[in-house]
Amino acid sequence: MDARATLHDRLGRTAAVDALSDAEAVQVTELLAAAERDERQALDASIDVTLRHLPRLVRMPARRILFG
Amino acid sequence: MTDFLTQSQLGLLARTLHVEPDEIRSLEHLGAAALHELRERISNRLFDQHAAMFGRISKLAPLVPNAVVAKVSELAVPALVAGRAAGALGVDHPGRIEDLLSRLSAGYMADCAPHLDPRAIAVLAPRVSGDVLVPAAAELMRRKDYVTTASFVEFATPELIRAFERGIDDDLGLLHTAALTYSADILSDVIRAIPTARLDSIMRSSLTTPESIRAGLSVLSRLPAAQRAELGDALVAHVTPEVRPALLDAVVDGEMAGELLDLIAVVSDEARRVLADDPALATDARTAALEAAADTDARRQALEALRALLPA
Repeated sequence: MDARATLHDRLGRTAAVDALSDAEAVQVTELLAAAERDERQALDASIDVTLRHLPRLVRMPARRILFG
Repeated sequence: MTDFLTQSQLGLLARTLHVEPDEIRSLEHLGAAALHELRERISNRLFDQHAAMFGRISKLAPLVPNAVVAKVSELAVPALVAGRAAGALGVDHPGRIEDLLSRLSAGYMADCAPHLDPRAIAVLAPRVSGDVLVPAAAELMRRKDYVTTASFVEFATPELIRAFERGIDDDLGLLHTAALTYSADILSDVIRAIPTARLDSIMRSSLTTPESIRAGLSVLSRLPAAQRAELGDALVAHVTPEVRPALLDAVVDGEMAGELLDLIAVVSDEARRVLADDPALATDARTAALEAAADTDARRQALEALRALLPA
């Protein structure tokens, strides 16, 4: 799947994506993938740290709710 | 020179993608509307990927009182994550949002604000009072983060606009926020909510620097004719012989001759005489800029009206 098709797949069909050059479509695809990865990692790391700061009584039930 | 709207939408897209604007400068050619569309779709996708985890985090809410949430957030949760989560959690627990926000520092709220889901802001803005939000808005103004303040204006209620106007004494901050507000309709509504005396003060302040002159002209050019006329007269009332050269230089250097003609088209005859009463208007650079910008009947008529008033 080329970059433009990938963007249409992930963002829905939009004239804004159609207006990108091929190089720009590649750039935006790569930046989007990097942002998704960075945010997932930031959220995961943040959850771990936050759980450690919660009062002890809340920590175990919180872990069960978050991770089963 | 890139117009204000394209500049702000590029800035928002860059922030959404966690890059500096210069890294995606080539996308300027898309223009404000396409950049807005692209940023909105990307933002929605980034938020939606976290929906399941935010749903689970939301279930923790009954276990943790607001005082603990606020303390732990500032201590341990990076602004990007807090901002992303806040919208989702606020929508699930709207009754807690005002109290929770009131426990956060203005600095932390300002750190988180750029990362809020715009869809959640639309839902939450009516539920939060100005008292809680104004300190964070003032901090964003102090940081000159007008891209963020403008993105919030899109969802502010008239009550919030009035609270911001009362609580923020930064005229240029309000001006630049207005200049970067994406929707012309919302811009018009926001200006309508601001008291006349304050609008006059903002118009006077807009003549301070070349950048603020351009911001002021950009705002005026996007308003309906009647509103543009009223504010335009207020602006020109502050144009003195000392200020006029700077105004005209900013127009020519900032490629805003069209916006100036749009203003001249609607202001009073008295205001036109003030603008025309300057021999420097006859200089080649300024005349050429105005002539090049007179690309509609209204602008051509405005230029002729100005020429008729030029000193002999």
